[in-house]
Amino acid sequence: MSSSLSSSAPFSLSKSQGRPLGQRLLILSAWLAFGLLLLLPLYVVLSEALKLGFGTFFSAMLEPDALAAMQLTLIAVGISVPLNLVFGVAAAWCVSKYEFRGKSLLITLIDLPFSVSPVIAGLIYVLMFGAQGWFGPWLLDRDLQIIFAVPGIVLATLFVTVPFVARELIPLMQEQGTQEEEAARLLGASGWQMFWHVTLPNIKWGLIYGVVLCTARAMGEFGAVSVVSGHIRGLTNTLPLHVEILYNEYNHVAAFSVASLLLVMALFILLLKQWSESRINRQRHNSAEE
Amino acid sequence: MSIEVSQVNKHFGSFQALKNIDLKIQSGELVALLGPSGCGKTTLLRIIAGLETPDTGSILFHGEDVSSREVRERNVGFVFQHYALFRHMSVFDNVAFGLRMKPKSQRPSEKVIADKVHELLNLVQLDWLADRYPEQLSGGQRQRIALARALAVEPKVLLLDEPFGALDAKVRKELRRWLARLHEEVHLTSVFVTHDQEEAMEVADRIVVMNKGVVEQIGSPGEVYENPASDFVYHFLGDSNHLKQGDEHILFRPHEVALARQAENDFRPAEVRDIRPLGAVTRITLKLDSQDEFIEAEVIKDHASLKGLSRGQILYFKPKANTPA
Repeated sequence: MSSSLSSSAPFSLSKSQGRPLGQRLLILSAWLAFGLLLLLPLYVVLSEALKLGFGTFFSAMLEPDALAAMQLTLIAVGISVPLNLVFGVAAAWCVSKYEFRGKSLLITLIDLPFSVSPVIAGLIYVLMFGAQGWFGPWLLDRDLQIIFAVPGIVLATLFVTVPFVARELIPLMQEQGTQEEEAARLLGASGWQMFWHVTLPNIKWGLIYGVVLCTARAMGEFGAVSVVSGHIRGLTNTLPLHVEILYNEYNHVAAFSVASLLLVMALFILLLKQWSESRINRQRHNSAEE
Repeated sequence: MSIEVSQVNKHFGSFQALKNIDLKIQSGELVALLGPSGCGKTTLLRIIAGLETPDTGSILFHGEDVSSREVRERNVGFVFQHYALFRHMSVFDNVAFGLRMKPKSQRPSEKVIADKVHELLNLVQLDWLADRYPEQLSGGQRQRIALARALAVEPKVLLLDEPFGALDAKVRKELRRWLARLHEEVHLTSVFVTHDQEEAMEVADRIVVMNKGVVEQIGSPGEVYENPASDFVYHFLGDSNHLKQGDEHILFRPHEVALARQAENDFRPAEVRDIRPLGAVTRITLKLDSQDEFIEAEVIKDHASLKGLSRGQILYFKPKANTPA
């Protein structure tokens, strides 16, 4: 949202001479806070990571355990994000295009993962699928392992990231209403044609924005995954967990090297987010002119 | 193609939107569904289109029951009040949409589609806008593009929901005359919904007056105006005056008044409160001592009684025709 604030500010920098003192102080303190709270930590991460030179930096990242963690993170993201995409679109469709009993309850439940602490989310899965959990004996009989294995990590990531796509799409689709879809039906489009040619193009940018946010959260998720993972090196460690382990072993350089990898991915996603956000704003702007 | 609506009922929760609606529309007719907002006219139109399902009753096209047919199989053209143009498609793609969605075996080639689209855009006189997007068009242009899009699939029936509702007064007038002419050209059975009695009178062959989910009267513009079937129809189709004469009340329209400057037989005196020139006619607001309600009279602008008339003067009036209330 920072972009829309800065772009809509009625002053340009060249006019800063005539700015009242209070305004200058406020802007200065905003930059100061931003520098201290965000830029400084970024600098610390990178400088710590590069303290012993590029050699150690890259070897920490390319070490087998780090690569395995990277792979697992990508698997968790690769499974949970597409599932959330499908779920998010379906849920947003239901909520915005149909009237039914319990609709507001469903909207509230979609938000549940936002309000529940991720640690509790992880514990829920342990209680359900762990050895002593509800389904524990049943799973044990069939030799299926969910907790302390990849499926648990995927489930935990999925739970935590459920709201992102749906939350982004529901207001967008409610605002757009159902008339274009009705028009498509009247013109002979099948349900699938209607979705593909009318609904999807209309929600495209919102959907990309939701997916980007969802991906960022899925990559960085620590709490819920930490509970169900079991921290088995090279097997059930995701990148954030790997960073923690390295740090706890006083291997600061390696910890910060791996952390900077997450950082680079986060910055990349931030760029994607910025881009899709500007497209949504443009779309909103256009439709507001009608 | 004729349309028949038979014994249709529709509830939304506990609210009954339509009660026992029976309606026959002849092939090629242009019919207006007229009524105040919330009277069920739009619901009826949506039921004919298949966008809503009636609780009971059936819809027949050309004698054939289409109640169980899906929207996309009814082959109706529908124009929404706010047009519902596809915002991410150009005008050309909007109009071509219906043809491109046809099953592969019936789908014309892109060349044929392009010819057809340009033919329709010429019909609505907007061929020069083919590459624009809906957001770049004015309301009146969007309206005509929506119409071209609906006509592209060669529907047997054309349904329009408040087609002029979102336009400003001048464009509105032009467009409804244009629509009436277009209807004469293509001669498609058409039904449009409106809350504006002037619009219904000017455009429609027949008017269906609705109120609170029931049909009050069906008839030609002349019939419903001259012989209103109920008080509601009388009031809805035009302004009316209410005059107490002893024990009885009479209703008459503003133009059904004779005016005179001098006292005459059967004429009653009243004070002139307002004089409004409205073009061809002038409206005079009169106040009687015997009632609080004002009387409005409309006479042609060069009427003898208006010469040198000013507010506060006394004028004599007499209802010409009247309907006992």
